[in-house]
Amino acid sequence: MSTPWTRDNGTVVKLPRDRQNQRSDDWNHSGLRVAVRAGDGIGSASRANPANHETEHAWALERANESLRRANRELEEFAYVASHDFREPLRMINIYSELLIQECGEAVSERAREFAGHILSSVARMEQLIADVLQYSQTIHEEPNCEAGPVPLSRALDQAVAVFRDRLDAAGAEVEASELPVVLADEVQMGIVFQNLISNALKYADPDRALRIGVWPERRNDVWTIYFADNGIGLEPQFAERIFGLFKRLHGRDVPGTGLGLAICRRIVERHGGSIRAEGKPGSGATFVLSLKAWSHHESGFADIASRGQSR
Amino acid sequence: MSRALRILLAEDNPGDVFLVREALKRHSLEHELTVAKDGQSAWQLIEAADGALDPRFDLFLLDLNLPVRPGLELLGRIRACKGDMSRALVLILTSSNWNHDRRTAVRDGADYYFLKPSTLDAFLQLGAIIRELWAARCGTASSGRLVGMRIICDEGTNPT
Repeated sequence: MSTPWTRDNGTVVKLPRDRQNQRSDDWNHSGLRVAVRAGDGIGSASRANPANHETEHAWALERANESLRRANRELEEFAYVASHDFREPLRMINIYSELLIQECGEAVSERAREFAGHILSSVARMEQLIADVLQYSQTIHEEPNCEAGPVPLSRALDQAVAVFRDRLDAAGAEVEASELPVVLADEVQMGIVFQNLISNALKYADPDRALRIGVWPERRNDVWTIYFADNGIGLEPQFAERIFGLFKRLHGRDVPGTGLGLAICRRIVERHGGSIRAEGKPGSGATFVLSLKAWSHHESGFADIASRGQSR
Repeated sequence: MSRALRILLAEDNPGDVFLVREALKRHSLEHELTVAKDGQSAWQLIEAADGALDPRFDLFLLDLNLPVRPGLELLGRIRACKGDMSRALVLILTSSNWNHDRRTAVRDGADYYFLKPSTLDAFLQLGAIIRELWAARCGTASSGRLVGMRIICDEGTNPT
């Protein structure tokens, strides 16, 4: 979990990741700038009047926290409005397109049916976009919830595979996964990462061969690297970074998707203090490389930790 | 059912009003439908009918997000009626899948929570649901379908 800065007394102010790089001057409205200034002047000010100094800090931190709580509440309200009000007109468009076709009965032409098909598929796409934007905004604003303790990544992967079971079977795809380590992470969010990676592999499978996905871990010092490799159509190395951008896609409408899945993956992994990148060549599959901090310093034997994770 | 079912629909979206009419028609429910386009006019109709010997409405269809007065306020007003109308059937008709809305509606005495669907066929099922609920209320449920039917429809999957 990221801790942008920690006070001497152990108080931690958590900032949304996208704000961490802002200069403190940007924070006038939240009172945080006061806190940063006070921290900067700790050498002289605290010696002059330590009691006063502490009070000032406590006050500034409380204001900063209140401001963040308000921002989170507002985001929740926005997410509710977005999921509800944005979908309302779509519901009407959907039903009334159906009614139009039904009313016209036998008289409806093949062309009119085709037009209705375009309307309905656009509605479906808009619904998907709204759902993805909501998920993305949640990953920006919600700190990963790691309080449940370390989680076995294998379980998060299994659950993601289960979500895609039907589609994987329909594609004749196989997933071969080695046992993955146990890490301190938000299990739901890590599940979302694996879901997006599987979905991505399905979309960019090579039509000439059955899809195979391999997942295996590698430990280096305090870092676990998880490899997620497929034998799909691969990608140009020059685009390996671009695919993590918002709404960035390398293919046209014939491949479904909103261009948010990998952006969501990167957000989640980075908020866990890790990183994700892509490797690949056209025609020879893609490999996603996730790096996550190891949870313990044990070199081996994650079985005992895994059983603890299972018992939750 | 010997007489027409008297329904008050509080709904501001003309698209949904049409669909409700269509659902009642396609399920050949004999009915008298009164439409209020906002919460205030619905409120006034309920006030005027309250206490009458023969209550004007047997069943209410309430949208939650109504102009002026929200649907839950209307639900509270209906349940506070002095006469028989306090026991009228109340169906919430909403596109809110928010658990908070669902729980509040149940707590405040709604008989059914109908999440407005986004396909035509699913929306038209409203007619069948009203028929079943009304038959059960009159003790004339013949199919027995309602016996196993949960009066408040299934829980959504949304988080609170």
